[in-house]
Amino acid sequence: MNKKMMKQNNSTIFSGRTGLAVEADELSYRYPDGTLALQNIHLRVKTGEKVAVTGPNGSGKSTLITLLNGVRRGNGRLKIFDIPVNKHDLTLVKQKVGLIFQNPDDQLFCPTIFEDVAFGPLNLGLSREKVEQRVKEALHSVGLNGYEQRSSFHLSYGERKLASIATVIAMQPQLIAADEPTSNLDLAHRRKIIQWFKTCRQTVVMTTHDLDMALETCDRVIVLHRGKIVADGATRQILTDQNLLERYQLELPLSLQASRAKS
Amino acid sequence: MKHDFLDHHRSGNSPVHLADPRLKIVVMLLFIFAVVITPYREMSDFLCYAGILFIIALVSRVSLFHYLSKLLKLYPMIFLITFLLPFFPALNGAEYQIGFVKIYQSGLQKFALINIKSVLAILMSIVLTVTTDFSMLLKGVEKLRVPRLPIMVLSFMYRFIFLLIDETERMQMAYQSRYVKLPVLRRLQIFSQQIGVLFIRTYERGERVYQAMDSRGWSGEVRTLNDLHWRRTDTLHFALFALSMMVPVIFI
Repeated sequence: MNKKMMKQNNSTIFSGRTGLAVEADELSYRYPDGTLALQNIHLRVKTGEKVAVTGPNGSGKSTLITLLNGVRRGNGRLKIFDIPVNKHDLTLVKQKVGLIFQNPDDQLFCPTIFEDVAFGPLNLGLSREKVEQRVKEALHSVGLNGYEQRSSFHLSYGERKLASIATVIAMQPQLIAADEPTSNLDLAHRRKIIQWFKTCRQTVVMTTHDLDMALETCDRVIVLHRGKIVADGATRQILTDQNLLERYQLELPLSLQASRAKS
Repeated sequence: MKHDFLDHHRSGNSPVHLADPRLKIVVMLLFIFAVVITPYREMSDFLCYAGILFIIALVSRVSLFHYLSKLLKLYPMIFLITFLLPFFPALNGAEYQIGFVKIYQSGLQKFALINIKSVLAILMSIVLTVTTDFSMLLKGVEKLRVPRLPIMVLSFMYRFIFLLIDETERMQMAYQSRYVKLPVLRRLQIFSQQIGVLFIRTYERGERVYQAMDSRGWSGEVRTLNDLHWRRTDTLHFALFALSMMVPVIFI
């Protein structure tokens, strides 16, 4: 197997033998009521890659994301940074994967933003000074400096989304799994989040309907349809293939539609 | 999480606010224990307890009105439980006739005693909860060697209450936006349906919040930024409290 050279320094320490952040084979997940959400997923994500997972509603995107962190357990083989995701190594996996949920209110549950962002580092057992430092850095990365003593319910939706991202990056995970990071956002906050994903050094797997964001931030796009991967390739390749997109109820990113309309 | 109404006075600078939560928990338990086992010999015993409570309340620099308003919310329950006592027939003791109703002195005494004891106990626990931040309180409980499971349950319950409040407000908004004047019975029917849906939604939300906490490494231990430190002032305050609780015993 051809191992790519690692671009980011911090990932060489943690990338493991294979250099793969995510290694999934025959992964499947069935909901308790019997519905098959994911079938036979075969996935390789290299350390440092940024992957967008898209597809119609109900195709299994969110389920796939929650499998990456060990929150849900499916059948088949799944390894995160060469650590198998099973009962035994779950804590290790959780430390390496940061899961950003779609609804920020599910992740902000402390009286102040400071306590929310400090929740993760405190659970890691860090000292008081380290915790405070992590909180400061995380809030700075998402542009929420000075928001420490604010309560989450006083913030607008966009600010809450940014705060929920801060709660996860304060744990400094190597892999970020994000579920619809730009949904329901105004353009200013959306721009901030796109900017953050563009400049972050971690491996990213995100689900999104916002194909323009995928175009800007991700190297690779995967299309899910009814629980199966139906397309997997470079962003430029997938998102310009109009036939492919339309077959799976997607459209060209707006920016490409505009340029095509002109020509 | 809209909870200003619960946390309003928690941050404060009085000696009571700053005392170690363990001290406050132990003081509360001892106080309640003493109040409950003190038999009725003289009113002065209970006046003494009330005095100690009053002093602690004053030192906490929280308005007494605030304490009383909290008491007022809880007192009706005590009253409901005890109001029938004066009407229980007793063979000894005096009887009073008011209209067609008989009131017995022994029942009246029991009524008064239980009410006084309950009010004292409730007030002491109110002082504890008003002056202590909930997670510090849990930390104190944890350090007092209470097993992890009840503490986990308590901390979940605390968060769950706010989720419940959030969802209730949301349902109220939905209802108000489609409000139509309805007969009372229909309104009650809708209300019961709302409660059912409320619990389902809050339960599912609680599941998601748990998943978020779990994926940020929560393992059930109470973690706070400030660790608990027992200070010399805490020992001093405990000694003062213990001595003053001896007063009813010594000077019967």
